Amino acid sequence: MDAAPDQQAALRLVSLVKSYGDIKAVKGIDLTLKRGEILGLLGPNGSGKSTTMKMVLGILKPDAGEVFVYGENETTAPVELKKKLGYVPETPQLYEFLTGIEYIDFVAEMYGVAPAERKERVSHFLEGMQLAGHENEMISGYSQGMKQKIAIISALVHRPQILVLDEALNGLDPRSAKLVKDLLKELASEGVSILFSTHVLEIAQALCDRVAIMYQGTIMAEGTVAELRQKAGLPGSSLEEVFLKMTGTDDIGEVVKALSR
Amino acid sequence: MTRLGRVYSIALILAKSQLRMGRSGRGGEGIFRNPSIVAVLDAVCFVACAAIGFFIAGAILALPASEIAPIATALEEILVFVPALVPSVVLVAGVLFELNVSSKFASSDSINWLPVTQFEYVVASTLSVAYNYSVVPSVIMGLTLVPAVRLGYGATWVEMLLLSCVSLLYGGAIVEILRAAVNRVSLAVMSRARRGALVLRLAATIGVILVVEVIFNFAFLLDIVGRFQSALGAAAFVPVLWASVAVRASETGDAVQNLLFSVATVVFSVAMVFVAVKVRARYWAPTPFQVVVTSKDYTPGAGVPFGLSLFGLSRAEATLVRKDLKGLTRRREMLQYFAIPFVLSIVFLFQIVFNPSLGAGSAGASGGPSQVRAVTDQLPVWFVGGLFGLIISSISFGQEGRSAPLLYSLPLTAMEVLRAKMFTSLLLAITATLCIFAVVTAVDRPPPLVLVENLAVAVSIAVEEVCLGTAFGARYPDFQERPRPRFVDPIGLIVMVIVGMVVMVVTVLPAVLSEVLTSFPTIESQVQPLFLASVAFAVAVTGLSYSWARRSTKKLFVEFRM
Repeated sequence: MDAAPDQQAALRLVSLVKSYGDIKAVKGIDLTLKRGEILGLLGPNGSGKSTTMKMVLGILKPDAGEVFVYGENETTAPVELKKKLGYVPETPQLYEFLTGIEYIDFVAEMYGVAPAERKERVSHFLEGMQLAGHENEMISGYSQGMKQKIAIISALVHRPQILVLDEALNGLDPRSAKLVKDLLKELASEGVSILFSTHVLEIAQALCDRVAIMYQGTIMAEGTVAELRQKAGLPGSSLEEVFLKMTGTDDIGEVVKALSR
Repeated sequence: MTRLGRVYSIALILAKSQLRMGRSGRGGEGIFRNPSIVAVLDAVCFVACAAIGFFIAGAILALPASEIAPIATALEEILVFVPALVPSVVLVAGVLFELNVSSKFASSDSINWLPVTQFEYVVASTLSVAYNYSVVPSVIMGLTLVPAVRLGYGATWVEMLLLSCVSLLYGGAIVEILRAAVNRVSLAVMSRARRGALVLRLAATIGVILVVEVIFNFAFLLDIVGRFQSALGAAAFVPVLWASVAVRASETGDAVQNLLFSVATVVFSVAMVFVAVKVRARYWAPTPFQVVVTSKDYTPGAGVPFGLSLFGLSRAEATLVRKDLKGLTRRREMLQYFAIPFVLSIVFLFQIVFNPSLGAGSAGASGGPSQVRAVTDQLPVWFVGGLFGLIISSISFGQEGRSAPLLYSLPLTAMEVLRAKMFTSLLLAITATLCIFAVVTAVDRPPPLVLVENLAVAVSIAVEEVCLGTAFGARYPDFQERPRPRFVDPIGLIVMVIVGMVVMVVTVLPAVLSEVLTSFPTIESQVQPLFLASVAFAVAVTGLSYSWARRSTKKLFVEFRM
């Protein structure tokens, strides 16, 4: 296995395998996230996207394979490498008994963000995400969208070098979603690498530099949207059509007819 | 659908949800999917207990007549007090299992926006609570049936059965009143919405739990009643004892009193249901309150919070400690754990206050009784902190719930998490120990040497139990979030409680011996250092437990599995 550090790679997954009992969730995938790149990880439900992301974060231990963060094997210094990562889970499970600001402060403290830097950055985020005025309320009273915003701020508060976003735009209002998308582009231009999973293909098409399509635990295709169109033999078509063809789920018309009867 | 039909439908749904509550994600499967299992369980328990009662009756009747008489009297007393016992049991179970539903689940109560009246809902909820706990009277009825019939109390048994069913109903109604009252407390303090309000809610909720535990504890009631007149004479003034008065009247053949108190019991039950309806209609707030904890501007803390660096904690560890302490005081499902030292202290203090042979001021001039009392008075000091430490530390990992993956994604080592968890538990357990120690010391005023011994043993026990509880908590965590979260796997919990109790008893034994034997002047100086054996044993248990806790935590942090 070639584990030589790639100077351009922020994150490199090598032959990652993960099973849950008899179910093989991830079947030996290889994936590289370059510095300053937004890589979209697309796939239907149960394709292994979230499992892959959790292995990147050390929440799940791979059965086989390795994760390299800036060329270093994640198992060698997991705590130090985690400081370079920021993560927004698909459904953020926050500490509901803390207020929004207490939660962000807790996470910032864990990442060792200096108080002065923290205050300025958090204030900007709260204003931008239209959470100012709600920061001292308990999270248990927040809407799903507000919780998502808190999770996003928490992932960004320490200026991570790699962002792992699992359906991060779920539940956000249009303004906040636009703000996050623009922010991600800005961060990427500053050199932050972003691994981004979504079901909304329009977002992936508009936001991602490259896209990897995951299906049944494997990477079916990887490349720019234009490259994927070529691979699928669908020049000029949308990413949605490419995705449906590649995942073999392009028989939707028949299903719709059957359901509408 | 008729009103009765709606009540039945709601009761059925509530019974189902109560049955499945607290079970795993497979709650919808298995034998608990259908509420009829409760009726089957009731029938099985009744028949099995009746069979046991049959053999007990046979054994009693085989005794000489002179020995049967006191047993018959005891049976009479049991039949009299069962109707008072039933609502007491339902209440305790209600407080433990119905009111501690986590706010996340309690607030998702779709019944609030369905076209259902408060009356329909409260009656249905009362019926479902009574139904789900009907196994309690089933067991008692089964055990007492044959002995009652064979000893000539058949009619009394039937009356007891009927009145116990009525008592079961008002027990359920009182749980409903309590549910709305706790909700009212939350509303009152949370609408104020400041940090002080959180503390006030904690104190008020613990207060409500304590008051209910005490007021509806029939032994306590009788004790109070007995201080005025003979027990059942005074019981006429206590509604929860009316059913017992009726049964006693049945035994003595007083038909008027029997009828009067039977009717009064039924009226009291109906009144309780109506009070429950009114209380709910007035106080129930279906949506969670928006809690603003502070109005101050955000100022990030610098350095280790609370001066925790004095204890050698890193910044990250101290932040974890602070987070856990906030959770303990703010989460509704954690209040029961926070109430543990208060409930335990009251149980022990009741024993001291209400037991004349042990009560303050009862010590004689001779050494013996005084030493016994000294030992008895030390029990809360030794055990409250220990038990509290054992339980509070055991939930320290599981209480992370579904937020646990966050700890994995943050730059934390397993040891940092372990130290933070252990420190939080130690802080609480030792604080509880010192508080109860201060109270008992103020009452007993022991000599300085004894005071030091008792304190050393008490703190040693608190520390050893925290280490033991943390080890079990890390080895058997339960991160599942349910209406009634468990935090610790049930098997692990049972083993932990047994091991924890055994360890505590073994630890205090040398100290107890030391206390008791010092009444003999000839060996006083020789037995005094025995308390050091207690401390040494605690140190050994602490070391072993800590080592196990380290291994378990490291193992836990290899991968997060829900």
